[in-house]
Amino acid sequence: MSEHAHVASKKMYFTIFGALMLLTAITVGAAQVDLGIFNVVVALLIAGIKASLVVLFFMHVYHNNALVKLTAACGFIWLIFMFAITFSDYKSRGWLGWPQTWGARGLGVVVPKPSHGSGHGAAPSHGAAPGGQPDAHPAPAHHDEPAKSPDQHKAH
Amino acid sequence: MASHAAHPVNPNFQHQFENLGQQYDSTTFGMWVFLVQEILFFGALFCAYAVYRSMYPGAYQAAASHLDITLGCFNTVVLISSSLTMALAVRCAQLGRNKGVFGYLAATQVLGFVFLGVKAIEYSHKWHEHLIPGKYFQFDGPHAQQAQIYFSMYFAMTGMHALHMVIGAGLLFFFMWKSWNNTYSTEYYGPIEIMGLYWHFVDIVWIFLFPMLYLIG
Repeated sequence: MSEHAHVASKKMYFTIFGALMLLTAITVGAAQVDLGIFNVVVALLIAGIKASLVVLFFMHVYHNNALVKLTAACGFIWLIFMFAITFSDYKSRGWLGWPQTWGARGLGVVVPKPSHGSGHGAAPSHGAAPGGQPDAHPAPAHHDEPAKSPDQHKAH
Repeated sequence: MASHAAHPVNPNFQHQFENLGQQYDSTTFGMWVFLVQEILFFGALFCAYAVYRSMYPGAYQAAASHLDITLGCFNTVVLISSSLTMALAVRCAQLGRNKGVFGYLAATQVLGFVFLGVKAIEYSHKWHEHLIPGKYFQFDGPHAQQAQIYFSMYFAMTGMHALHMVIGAGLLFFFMWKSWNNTYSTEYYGPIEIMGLYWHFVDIVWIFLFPMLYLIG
């Protein structure tokens, strides 16, 4: 067992730590500049680099066997599947001109009255035109836990 | 591994394995499988976050401006530092230095509690500013209703992350006790490596949470 242990130098760990600190400073700095849509791109790119450094060197994937490399890669590949399939659903709603209420009801976006059963109001389109909706319904109606919403939608 | 046959059997060797090397590889692989599940668990939260953000970018931006970037940045530095001390603890374990393992795990523990302390301060600010989603939620501006979605995501994601930190703290206490009793050696250090994998994973989640929640305001 000792023969396959790769003991990295302390210097390597401090170098990675320094790089992570530097990238943190860059991401905070970049957030102060208005880059429009690219603010998100830059933030995600830097977070991705930081995560890769941690995975490769702190978590020893770089010096590990093929099984561990493959397993770690699997996690991220499935993550990409989850995002791609979810967004292909949400982003394409309304493209075929079906009743707009279908999308809105499941998402809990439109709540016509404070004392509602399940929302069934006429909804402004949302999937086709993402954008902060102005305060169309000022009543502080109750929102369900959003983390559950994708599942709720399927239930409808 | 024939050379090990002459040695006394390590008390931590589990008989179902061929040798300590196989035991190490199997347990590390098992931990990675668990982490893949964790990636998808947090991934689902990030996915929900992204769906609602794509619908209400304005509300997300307005709501995120209520977060304190200084505290978030401080916590990022604290957590990355704790990852460094964790990595150094694993290195000490690989070299069989139990006192070093104990010291670095203790440092990791302290940094972990600093993180949780700051998080508690932030939560209490949200409480006093009526930013907890629900009946008493108050938010000025045109995005009041949609801002609740942002704060629901904020509490779900940071809450789940904090829960992982608390579990990690419990595990750290256990491994501090084990290293205090000189459990680890150059041939047996797998548990510290696995503890490290868990801690670094929790760090990675925060690496994404920080820009997504704090820096869009």
